[in-house]
Amino acid sequence: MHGTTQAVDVAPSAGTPLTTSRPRRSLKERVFGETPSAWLFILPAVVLLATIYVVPFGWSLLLSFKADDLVTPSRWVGLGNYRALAKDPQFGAAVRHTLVYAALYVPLTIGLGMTFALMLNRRIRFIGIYRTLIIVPFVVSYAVQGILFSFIFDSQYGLANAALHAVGIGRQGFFNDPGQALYLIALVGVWSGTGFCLIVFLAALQDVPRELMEAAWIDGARRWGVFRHVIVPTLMPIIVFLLLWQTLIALQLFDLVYVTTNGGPLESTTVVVFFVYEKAFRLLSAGYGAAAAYLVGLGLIALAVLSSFVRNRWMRSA
Amino acid sequence: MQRTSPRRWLRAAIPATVVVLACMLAACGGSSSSNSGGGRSAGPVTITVWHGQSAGPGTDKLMALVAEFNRTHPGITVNASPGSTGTESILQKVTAALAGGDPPNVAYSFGSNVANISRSPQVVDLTNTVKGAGWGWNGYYPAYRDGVTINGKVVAVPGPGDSLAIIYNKRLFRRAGVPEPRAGWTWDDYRALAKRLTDKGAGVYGAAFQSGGSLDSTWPFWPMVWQRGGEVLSADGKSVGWNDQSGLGGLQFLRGLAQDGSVYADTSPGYPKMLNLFNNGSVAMYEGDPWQLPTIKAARIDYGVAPLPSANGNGTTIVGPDAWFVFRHSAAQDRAAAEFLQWLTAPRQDAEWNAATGNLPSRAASTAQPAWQAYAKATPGLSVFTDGLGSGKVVPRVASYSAISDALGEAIQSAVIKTTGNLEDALHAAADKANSAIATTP
Repeated sequence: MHGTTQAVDVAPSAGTPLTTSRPRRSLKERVFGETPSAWLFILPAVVLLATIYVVPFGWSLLLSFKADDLVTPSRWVGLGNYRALAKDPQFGAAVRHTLVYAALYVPLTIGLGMTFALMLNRRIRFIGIYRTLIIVPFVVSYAVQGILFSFIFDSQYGLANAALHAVGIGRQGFFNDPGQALYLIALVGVWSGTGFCLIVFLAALQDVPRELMEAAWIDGARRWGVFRHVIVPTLMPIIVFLLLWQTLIALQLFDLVYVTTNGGPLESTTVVVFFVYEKAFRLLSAGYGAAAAYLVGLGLIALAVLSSFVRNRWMRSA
Repeated sequence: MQRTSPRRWLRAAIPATVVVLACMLAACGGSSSSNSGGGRSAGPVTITVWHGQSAGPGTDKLMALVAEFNRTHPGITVNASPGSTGTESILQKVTAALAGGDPPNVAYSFGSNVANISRSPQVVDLTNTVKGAGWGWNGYYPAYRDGVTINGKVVAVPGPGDSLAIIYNKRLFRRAGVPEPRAGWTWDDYRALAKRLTDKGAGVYGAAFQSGGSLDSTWPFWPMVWQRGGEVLSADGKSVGWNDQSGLGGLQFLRGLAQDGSVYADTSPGYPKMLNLFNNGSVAMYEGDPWQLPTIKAARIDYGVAPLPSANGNGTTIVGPDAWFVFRHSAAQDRAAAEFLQWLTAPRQDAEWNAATGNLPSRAASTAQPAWQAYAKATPGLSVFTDGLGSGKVVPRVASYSAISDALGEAIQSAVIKTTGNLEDALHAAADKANSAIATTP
């Protein structure tokens, strides 16, 4: 009762000044809005978030315009770091490696995740066990995976070579072979990254309206038809989300490389984030590393903007 | 329900904001104010020490020594803590602290980082301090002194170190029926032995080499370069000193092992895999460090230690001393920091700490101390490592070292993990890369 009277009180008084007295709004009002006290409520959070997120962001942007080894006073070099990066074959190779990894990781994890989700989305015996087993790799930390696989794919004592030997295939170099190491890392990445897609797809599949599927069956749709015309369209927002998410994860690859190959052999697995780490913290070219990090960051932002654009268009057309 | 008035909210929000801001200010400035406060007062001086050691018996011993120092030096209180998750990561912590303007009084560092850290204007020049009375500067091994001296300036106090020798599995030698290595042997002998010791059927490799291309790969390679007359840097310091027969000879030796199939090329980061393989009897010999002996003993391997093989009659080994840096604070604190380091690296303490960690002491006199004698008696072969300290060499302390090592590391990798491909091209490419790194490093 009290609430309704208040609403009646407020509505006209808030409505009239908005239309008639707009030019008379004071500077204070224009800067802080109509409810200046709201700023006080959010101030602690704003200060905290600004300190944690915005300040380092700005600081590293400044850093990327300097030659700085974090030890001696820095020197302003303008766009020098970026120019050097454009010409650095190592950085070019790192970008290439990252793109190869992403090109394998993103479609494979999403494709396999969806396949497994469809397979596991039914009432069969021991379904809980199957689901758990497939999700386990996703739960295992990258460090543990790295150590595990560096033993399995050891070129001289590994299980993988023993298995290949048993079927008559010769010894492989694996992590010691510059031509194989990156693909092997992608394999390990897919092994663990599929679990996440699987969980998301499984959850999304519960939302596919049963009536729609039944209607499709009654109309004579076969399994593929139902999948193509009922399930995929319903899952589309999820697929778009996973495409973006998995791409971001792929472009940020670091830990797996760090524990298995350390960027080698012969720099064949140096990905961009590893490159940044090497330059900034091991070779102490922090400015150069920051510039590389900024390029990666801009790439990620561009990707996010592009995907939200695609998503909006898709939403509108749907 | 009564609506809460904005004023009441204000009263709550303002203190909350103030508290958050105050906490952040305290977090940023807290330790620096306590540091300078200790220096200004006439009372006891408190200094912060980052020792960079991960947990273990060595760290327990160090903390016991620190406690002893605090007990026997009433005017000084040493606050020792790791400062980082391990010695590998302390460089990042120290550079971050330097960039933030708030370094500890004393920090430990790997020798390979000495050149980089010493460029900081906050590093205290210790030249006059360590050469003063009571320090016994000349008592440190020559390589240890070189390891902390840049252009005649002493930038740090020598810490524990290590050197290289060949660690071998006696049982595998007996089984293959080959004689154990003796002083005066050559790299050709090493290659021939490795070939005879290799037994693919039993899963045994004659040799192992850290082939990841990191600092761990160039570390066992430099002795091969030095013995063949090469240097890390040329005399004028403007280019590398191994783009010739000295570097090529080393690469050819490694390629020979690869072609014989007698070397386990460990490309995993660090040493763990190679050590595990040696400890389960799958590797017959390798260039090893003294700190590995306790784990080998614990694995019950019947091992022996021989000096490094030689080339051209030169058996020089490599010595890697770590370093203790002092960062500028108040004069009283800087003096206290130096006093602590002088005490910690004096023979008795030096011997006790290193006997607990398995590293090599920094002074020859320390090896005569009871603690070291007891450790050496319990650890066969240890004397081979300490004997090498007198004549061993240290890599030059230049800021471009990591980049030089990375470049050479690639050539080393291609020599060990491939059995074909031109080594001269790999060597020249590495030298070009290293030379341009030298030219661009200020």
